[in-house]
Amino acid sequence: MRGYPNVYRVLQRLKRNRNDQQKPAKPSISFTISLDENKNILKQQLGDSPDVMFRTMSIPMVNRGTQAALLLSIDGIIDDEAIREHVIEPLLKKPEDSQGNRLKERITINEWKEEENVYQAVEQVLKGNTLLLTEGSNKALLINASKFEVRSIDEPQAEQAIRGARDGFVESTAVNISLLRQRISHPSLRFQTIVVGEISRTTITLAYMNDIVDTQLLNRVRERIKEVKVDSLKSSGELEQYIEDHPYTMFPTIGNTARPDKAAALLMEGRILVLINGTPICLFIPHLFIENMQNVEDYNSRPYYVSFIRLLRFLSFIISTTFPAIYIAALNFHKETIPSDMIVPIVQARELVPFPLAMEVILSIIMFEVVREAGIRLPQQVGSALSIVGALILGEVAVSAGLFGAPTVIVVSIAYIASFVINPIADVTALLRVFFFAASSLFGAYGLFVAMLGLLTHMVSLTSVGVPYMAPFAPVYFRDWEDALIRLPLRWIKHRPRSVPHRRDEKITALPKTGGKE
Amino acid sequence: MKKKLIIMTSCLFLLTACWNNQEIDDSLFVLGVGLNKEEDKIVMTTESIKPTSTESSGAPQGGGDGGSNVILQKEADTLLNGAREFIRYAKRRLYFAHTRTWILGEELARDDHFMQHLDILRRNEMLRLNSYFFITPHDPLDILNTATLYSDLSSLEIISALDQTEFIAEYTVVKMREFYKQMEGPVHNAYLPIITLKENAGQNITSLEGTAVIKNDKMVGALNIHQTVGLNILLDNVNGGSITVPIQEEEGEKASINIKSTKATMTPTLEGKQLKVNIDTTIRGIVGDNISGHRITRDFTKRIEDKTAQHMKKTMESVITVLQDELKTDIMNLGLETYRKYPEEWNSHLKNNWEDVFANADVNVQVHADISHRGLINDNVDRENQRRPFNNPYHLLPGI
Repeated sequence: MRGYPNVYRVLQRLKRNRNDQQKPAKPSISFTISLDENKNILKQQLGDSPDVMFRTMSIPMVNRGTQAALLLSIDGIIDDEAIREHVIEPLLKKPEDSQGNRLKERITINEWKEEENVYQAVEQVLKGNTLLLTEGSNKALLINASKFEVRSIDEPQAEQAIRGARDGFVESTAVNISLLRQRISHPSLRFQTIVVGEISRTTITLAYMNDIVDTQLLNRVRERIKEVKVDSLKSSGELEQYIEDHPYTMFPTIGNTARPDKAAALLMEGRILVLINGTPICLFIPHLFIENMQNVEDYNSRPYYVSFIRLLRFLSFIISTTFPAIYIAALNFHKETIPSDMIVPIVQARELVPFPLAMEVILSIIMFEVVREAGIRLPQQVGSALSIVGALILGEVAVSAGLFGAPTVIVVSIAYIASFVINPIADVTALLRVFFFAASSLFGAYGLFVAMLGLLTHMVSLTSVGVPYMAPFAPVYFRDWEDALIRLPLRWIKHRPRSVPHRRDEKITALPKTGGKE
Repeated sequence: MKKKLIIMTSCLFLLTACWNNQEIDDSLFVLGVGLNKEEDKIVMTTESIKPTSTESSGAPQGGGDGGSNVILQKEADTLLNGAREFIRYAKRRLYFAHTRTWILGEELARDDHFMQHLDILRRNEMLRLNSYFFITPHDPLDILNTATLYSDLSSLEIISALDQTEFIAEYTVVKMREFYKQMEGPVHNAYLPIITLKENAGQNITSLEGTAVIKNDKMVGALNIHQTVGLNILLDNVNGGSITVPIQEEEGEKASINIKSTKATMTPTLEGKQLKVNIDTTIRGIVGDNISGHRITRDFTKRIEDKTAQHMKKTMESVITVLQDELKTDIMNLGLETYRKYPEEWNSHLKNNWEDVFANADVNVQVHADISHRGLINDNVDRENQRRPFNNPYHLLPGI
C-alpha cells in the first residue's frame, strides 16, 4: 500500500464514508469544570420542558465553606422521596469530619456511577437517573432512583386460562423480569439489555436460560436485534417484523405471549424471550407453527381431552381455510359430489339468490369480516347493538329476503367459528380462506389442490430465526410427536422438544412409581 | 428462484383445470328418468328438482304432492339427443349426475335390443353406475307423476326403498353396475325389479311388485312376489325379511319366521350331457309370530323348522320351474357356477346350447331351517298353566 499513497487515501476515504453512512458520527461532548457552562450545555440538550428540573444547591463542606452543585432530574420518572431523603438531605447537612468532603460517601443510595460524556448522561437522566454536578468537577454523578408509573398486574385478556396463573405481563420490563424470577429461581436465568431506537432509546431485554439455550441461536437473535437501527420502537409487533426471517410471509414466525407462566415454560424449553419496555406482550424465539394449535391449558388437564381438542384444532384450521372453497368447488364444478339427499335444499336455496355463487360467498365473507373487525374495535357498550345488527340482519333477514342462501351462510359461519378455535392465527386463516376460495372458484377442486400445495411448500420453507417453522413435521422429529397432534401423558414426555434447539435434553429425571400395582 | 416458482405455478393453472364451471341456478338436476318406446322413437321423461321451494310455487303441476318436482317429456332418437333437446323446454342444462332412478317401460324392455338404447349410460362420465333400474308395465310418466308419501320427489322415494332389504326379501335390488355385470357374464341374462302403480287407501302409490326376467337384451317374462323371494334365496341376496308358514292349515295355525340370514350353495355336476344341480340352503331365523295355541318347546320348534324348510323348498322350486320350463332363462347364476366348475366344457359346447341344458337340468333343492330363538315369550296366551312367577319375592308368603 505504501507505494500507492493515492490509492490508499482513496480507500481510506471510502471506508470512512461507509462508516459514516452506517453510523452518523455523534460528536461527543464532555462536561467542563465550570458548573455554569455545564448547566448551559444541559439546558441546550434538554430544552426547557416543564418536567426538566434543575436544582442548584450549596453543599456545606468541612473547612471549605460551601460548594455549588447542580441536581438535574426529570419529574415523574424519579423517586422524589428517595432523592430527598438519600441525596438532598445528606448533602445539605453539614458534615462532621473531612470524610464528608467526598460527596459520593454522603449519598446513601448505592446505585450510582460517574459519567463524563454529556450524551450518555442525558440519556441516563431521561431513563430516570438523577444527575449531580459540582463546581470544579467534569464528572457527573448519576444516581439511579427511578420510579415509573406502573399498571397493576392483571390477567391478560387475550390469553385466558381456567387453571393457569392469573397474572400477566405489564408495560414495565422491571416488573416483568420480577414475574419471571418468581417462577424460575435459578442463576441460569439471565437477562441482557440492548437499547434500540436512536431517538426513543427503548430498552429491550433478552431473557434466556443460560444452561439450556442454544448459544448459536442466542447470538443470532442478539446480533439481529443489535442491527436494528431505527428512530423509535413502538411495540413488540414492530420489532418482530424487523428481525424475523421472512418479512413477507403471512405466517408469524416469531411468537408472542402476555402470560408469565407460559413465558417461563418457554424459557425452560430453551427459547429466548424478548421483553420490550413499554409493551406488555413479550416475543419469543423460535416460534413453531404447531404452537398455534397448543395452549397453556393443555398441560393442566388430562391427556385424553387435550388430545381430542388438539385434533379438533387441526381440523378447525383445515375447515376454516378450505370450507368455502370446497363448497364452491362442489356446487359449481363437481355437482356429483354433493350427497343426493342434500341436493334438493341446496338447489332451492340457491334459486332465490340473485348473485352468482362466488359473489354470494365472497360478499358474505366480507360482511363477516366487517362484523368481526367492528366487534373488536367497538367499545363494549355499543357491542350489543353490533351483535343485533350482525346476527339479525346478516343471519336472519338476509336469508329470508333471499340475498344470501342459507347453506352459504352456514358454510361461511362454520369457517369463521372454526377459525376462532385457533385464535393465534385467526388473521392468517382469514386470508387463506379468501386465497383458497379464489383458486377454487376459478379452477374448481384442481385449483384448490394447487393452492394448498403451494401453501404447504411455502410453509415448510419458513424458518423462525433459523429454526424450521414446521418442525416437528418438516423436518420430522418423530420424538416430538408425543406433544404435537396429540399430547401423551406428561410422565412420558421426558425430553425437551428437539424442534427447539437446546443444550439440556432430559427434563424429567425421576417420578414416583404409581399405577396401583405394588 | 422466486420468479421460476411464480412461472411454474401459473403454468400449472394453464395446463389443466376444472373447466366446467356452472352455477347451480343455471342447471336442472334430474333425479329420475323414465324411458319408453313409441314406434321408432324413445320417449324420455325426466323428473327434476323444482328449484323454487314448495311454499312459493302455486298448484303443483301434477307430479309430486308437494309440487317440488318438475316433469318433462320428450321424444328423441337417442338419449343424448333428448337430453340436449330438453334444454328447449327446461331453459336450463339438464344435469344427470344425480340421476339414480331409471324407469324403463315394459314396451321398451320387450324390444329386441333395448340395451342398445342405453349405450350412453356407461359411455358418459356424468351418469352414475350406482343408480337403479326398474321396469314398469305402465307409462314411466305415471310412475314419476305419482304423488309421493313424504319425499320431495318420487325418484328419491323409490330408491329409498332399496335401503330396506334388511327387513324384506320380496323385491330385488339391482344397481346399474350389477345389471351390466350380469349382462356381460357368461350367460347374458339379468333381472330387474318391477314397479307398478297401486290404489291404496284412496291414493295412488308406487309399489315394487315382482321381478322382470331379461334374456339376451330383452325382457321375456316376470316373476311374482312369491317367486321373487325364492329367487332372492337362490341368489343369496337375502339379508332379512319374513316368511309365514302354515303349521296346521285346517285350523289356520301359522307361524312367521323372522329371517336372519340364508345361505344357498349351488353345486352343478355334469354327467355327460345332463346337468345335475344340488342346491343346499340354510335358513336361519327366529320365531317372529306364533298364531297357534302351541307352547314353544323343542319339539314344536323342530316342527316349525320342518314346515319352514318344506315351505321354502316349495317356494324355491316354484321359481326354478318357472325359469326352467316357462322362460328357459337362467338368472339364478347357475351358468356362472357351471362355467366356474367346467370352463372347458362350457367353452366347447355348453355355452352355445345353455338354454336347453338349463331347461333340462336336474335340480335338487335341499332346505335346512334353523330356528335359534323364540322371542321374549313362550306361549301365545298362557291361561291353563298359570303359575306364580318364580321371581316374585312374595310368592313364599302364605295366602298370597
